[in-house]
Amino acid sequence: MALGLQTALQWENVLVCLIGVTLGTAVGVLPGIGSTATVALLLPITFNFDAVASLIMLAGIYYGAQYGGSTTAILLNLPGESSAAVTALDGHQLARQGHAGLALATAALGSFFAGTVATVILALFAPPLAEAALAFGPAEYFSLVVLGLIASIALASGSTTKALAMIVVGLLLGTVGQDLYTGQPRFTFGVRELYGGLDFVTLAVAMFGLAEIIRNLEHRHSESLVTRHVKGLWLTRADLRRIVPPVLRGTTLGSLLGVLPGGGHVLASFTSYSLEKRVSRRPETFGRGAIEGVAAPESANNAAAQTSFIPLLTLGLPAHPVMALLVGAFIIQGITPGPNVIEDEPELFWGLIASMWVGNLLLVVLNLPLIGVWVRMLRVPYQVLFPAIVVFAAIGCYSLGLNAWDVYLIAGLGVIAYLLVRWGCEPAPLLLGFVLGPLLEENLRRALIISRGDPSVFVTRPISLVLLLLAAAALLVSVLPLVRRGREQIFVED
Amino acid sequence: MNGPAAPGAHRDSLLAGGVFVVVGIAFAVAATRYELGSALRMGPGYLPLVLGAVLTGLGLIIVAQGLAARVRASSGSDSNRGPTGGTVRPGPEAAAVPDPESGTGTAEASDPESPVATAPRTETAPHPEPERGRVPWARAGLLAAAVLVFGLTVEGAGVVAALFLTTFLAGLAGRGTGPVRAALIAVALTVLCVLVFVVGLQLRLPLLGTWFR
Repeated sequence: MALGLQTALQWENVLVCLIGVTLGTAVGVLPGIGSTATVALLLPITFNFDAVASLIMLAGIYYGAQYGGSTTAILLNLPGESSAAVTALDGHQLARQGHAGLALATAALGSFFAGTVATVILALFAPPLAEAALAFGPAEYFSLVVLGLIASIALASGSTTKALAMIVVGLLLGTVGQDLYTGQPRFTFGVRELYGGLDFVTLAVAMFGLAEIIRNLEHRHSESLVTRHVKGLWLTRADLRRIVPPVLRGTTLGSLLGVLPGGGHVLASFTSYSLEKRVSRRPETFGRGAIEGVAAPESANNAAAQTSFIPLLTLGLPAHPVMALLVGAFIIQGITPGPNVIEDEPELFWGLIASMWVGNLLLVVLNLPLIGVWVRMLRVPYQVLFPAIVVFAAIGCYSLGLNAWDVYLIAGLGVIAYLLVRWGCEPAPLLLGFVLGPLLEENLRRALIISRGDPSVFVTRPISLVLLLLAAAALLVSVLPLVRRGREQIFVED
Repeated sequence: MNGPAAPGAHRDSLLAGGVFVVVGIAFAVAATRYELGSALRMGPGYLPLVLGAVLTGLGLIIVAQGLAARVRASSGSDSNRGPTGGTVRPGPEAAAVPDPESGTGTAEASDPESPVATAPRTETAPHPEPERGRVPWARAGLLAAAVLVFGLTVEGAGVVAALFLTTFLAGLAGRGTGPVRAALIAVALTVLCVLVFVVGLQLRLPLLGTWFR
C-alpha cells in the first residue's frame, strides 16, 4: 500500500488522474452518455501514456463519468445509465424544489465516503483472492466465465431469454478472427483486417455511442434545466445527521454487491433505494425529494464501482462493460489482467488502487466548486453534441489501428444494435459475451484436452462445481418473478 | 417498423427473435465449413456451430413468446399488470451445457417484462421512459453514412476533409438542423478535433490525404 500511495502521489500520476476525472466528468455530464460510452470514447486518448498512467487515467475517467452522470440525473432528470436512474427519482425532485445544491453535495460526499471505504476493502481482499485464483485451472475458469455471464442476466432487467440470446450473439462475435489453436480464420469473409477479431472498442462505441444517438433522435428533446445557479452546497448539521445512516447502509450494500459479476452496481443502487424506503419513518417522502433517496444509492453505486475492480484485478474477469473496456486497455499495454498482476506489476496494482482514493478526493475537491461549469455543459444543444460524439467515435476507433474497417463496423453494428435495443434486447450482455467468449472457448477446449475429452471435469472438480451451481442458482433467481417484481416496484410506486 | 408504438411489444419479440434465428443459422451454417473436430479436440468450427444452434433455439423461443403475447393481447384482456406467475423459461441446462436440442420445443408461457406498459429499461434508458417515437430511418441512415464516409475518406482525402464531411452529414441528422447550420457545426467540430487529436494527442493522421499528393 505504501508503494501504491508512493506511485499514485507522483505528480505526473496525480496529474493524469486529475485529467481523467475531469475529462470523465465533462463527458459523463453530457446528457445521454453513460459511463460505458464515456470510457469507450475516451479510451484512445489514454494509449499515449505508459501502463500505470493510462490505467489510472481510465479509472479516473470511469468514476468521473459516474459522478457526471449523477449530476445530469439530478439537474436534468436524464440519467446516463440505469444506476443513476435511481438517483434521478429523488434527486431531480429536490432540484425542482430548489435544493439542487443539497442533492449534489450529498451525492458527492456520499460517493467520496463510499469510495474511500470500498478502496480499503479492495486493498484488503484483492491479494488473498488473487492468491486463491492462482490455483484455478481451465475447468475452473470456464465455470467462472459461465457464472459471470449468467449473473449478468440475473441482474439485468428485461426478458431473460433475450438477454441469453444477446450473450450468445456476443459469444459468436467473439469467435470472429483467427482460431486460437489452429490459426484458421473464422467468419472473416476473406477480409484480412478481420483476422485479429473484432475490436472491443468498436463494438462498445457502436452499441453505446451510435445506437444511443439514434435512440435519442427518436423523440424531440424537450428537457429543460431546472436550475441555472446551484446554491446551498454546504450541508447543515441537520442535513448531515440525516444522510449519515443512509450513506453507511448504501456503502455496505454497494461494497458487497459490486463484486458480483454482471452489473452489481445497478443492483446496488436499486436495492439500497428500496432498503431506505423500507427503513424510513416517512416512506411517503420517497420520490418527492427525500435526501435519503439520493444519499444511499449514490453511496452504493460508487462503492460498487470500486469493488467491481476486485474480480478484474484478481481473476481477470470483467464484472461489467466498463471493466471489459479496462481489460482491453490492460491488453494493449501488454499486461494480461488476472491473478498475476499483483506479483508481476505491484506498482501498477497498488498504484491503481491508491489512485482510486486520490481520484475520489479530487472529484469532491474539484467538482463542487466547478459545478457551474458542468451546468453550462448541460446547455450544449444536442444538435451540436451528437455530431461531436459521432466524429469522436470514428476518429477514436480509426486511431486505434489506423484501420478503416473498424470505422465501417461502427456504422453497421451501430444500426443493428439500435434495432436490437429497440426490440427490448439489452446491449450489456452482448458486450460481456463478446469479451468473455474467447476466454470461454479457450478454457473449455483446454480443459477438455487435459481431461481427454471427459466433460465431467467441470462437475468433479469442487471449485468448478460450486461455480456452476452458483450459475444455475443465478439463472433460477432471474427466472423467479420475485426479484424482478421487487425491482419494478421501486418505479411503480412513485 | 414504422407503426405506432402501442402494439409494438409482441412485434418487437417477433422481430428480435427472427433476427436471432437468422444470425444463429448463418453462424451455424458457416461454421460447418470449418473443421469441427470432436469434443476431445474441438476444431475451429465446433463451438460456433453449437452456439449458432443455441441462438437459433433461443430465437425460436422469443418468437414463441411474441406470438403468445399477441394471442393474449388480441383475446381482449389487456391486464398487463396481472400476476404472470407461470413464467416458464429455458432450464439452466440451456445455457450451462450448450445443447442444440434443449429448450427449443417448449413454448414459453409469458414474459412479464414485454407487455406494452413496461418498456424495457436499457442501460441508458432515462426514467421515466419517454414515449418512443418512430424509427428515425433517415436520421439513422445519415449517421451511418457519416461514419462510413469517415472510413472511406480519411486515408485518401486526409483527416481534415474526413472530419468535415462526417460532422456535416451527422449534423444534418439533427432535428431542425439545415445545411447552413450543419456546415457551421462541422467547421467548429473539425477545428476542435484537429486540435485535440492531431495537435494535442499527436496521432499520426495525415491532414491532407494521398489523393492530393
